[in-house]
Amino acid sequence: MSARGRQWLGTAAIVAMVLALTTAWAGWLNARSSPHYQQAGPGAFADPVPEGSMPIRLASLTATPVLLTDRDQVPSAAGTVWVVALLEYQPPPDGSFCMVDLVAVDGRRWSTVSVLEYTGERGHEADCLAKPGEREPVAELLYQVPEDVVDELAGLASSSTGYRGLNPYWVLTPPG
Amino acid sequence: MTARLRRWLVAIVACAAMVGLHAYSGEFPNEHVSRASVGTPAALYDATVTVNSYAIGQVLYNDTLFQGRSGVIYLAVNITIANPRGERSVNWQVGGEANGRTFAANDLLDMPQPGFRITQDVVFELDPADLAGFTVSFLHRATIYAYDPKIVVDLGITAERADELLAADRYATVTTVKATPEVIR
Repeated sequence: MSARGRQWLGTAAIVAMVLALTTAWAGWLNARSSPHYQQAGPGAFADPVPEGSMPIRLASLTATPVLLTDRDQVPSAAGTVWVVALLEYQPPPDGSFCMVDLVAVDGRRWSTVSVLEYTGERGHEADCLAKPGEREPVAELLYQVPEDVVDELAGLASSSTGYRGLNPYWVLTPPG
Repeated sequence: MTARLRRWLVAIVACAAMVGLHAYSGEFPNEHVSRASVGTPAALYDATVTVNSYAIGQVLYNDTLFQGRSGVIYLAVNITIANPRGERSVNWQVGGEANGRTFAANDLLDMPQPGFRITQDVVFELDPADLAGFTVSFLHRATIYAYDPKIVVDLGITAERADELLAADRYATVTTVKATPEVIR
């Protein structure tokens, strides 16, 4: 190979290396900042946090226009319905918490409704703070969504998307 | 190809790659500014924001609390953020600017969940001299952008209009509305 040919070859190799590194780095950044989701089996326990937190099972997911408490009947706002998610969880020895959003099949997500939005109490706690043996590890989370998305709900997924890795986020699926 | 030309070529390619990577990683707080006017919806991330109206006064009534200080006025800007189908983002920042100074809003924005819109007041505390030319900005700051999108809304308050407003409402009480989600039909 001539000297000029070697120069061209060296230049092409450097350019190709720079392009490959740029592409790989951009792809890695994109993969890290784009969480991907995987549906858990219907009613199965799964850990919604990729780093590992606490296995949770979505025991039921129910839509209702009126929320019943021990003191009140709370109608949902116009054009919306309440969605009641009943969770069972397996707390680790030091306890944990559940911060999960209601997600639709197209990725839309809704966060929980504050207990300040209604009066009275429901039958279950609205958190997953129980440690093993303290109380029944069951929680009930409330959401309010437009009524036309009820048939498009996929389940519950971690509300935190700060995880920077390639493991999937599990979507908790209701039984049936 | 000469050796000098080759070195320049390599340097240019390497610089372009570094600039590209740096821009993509969002380490520079670059902003891409779009302008909008009162009453006109402007798209930001998956939502639209509309500045509906504004009001001024020396006393602010916020839910159950009256507050006020001499020498300043409160500017309450009524806005609607609608999120028809998109992802709810909490990376919004709202601010104001006038006479080369920037102003922070008193409270954070309430962001609507998918399918909802929220109308709320954003309150700024400012010197009356800063009323003329006041602009409100909405910034979506996230690492996904090389240039963070920013909407700047000029309230259209000229010096003459500011004088009129101060003459009429300087000592008024500004009552803010509670942010209430409504479903988008």
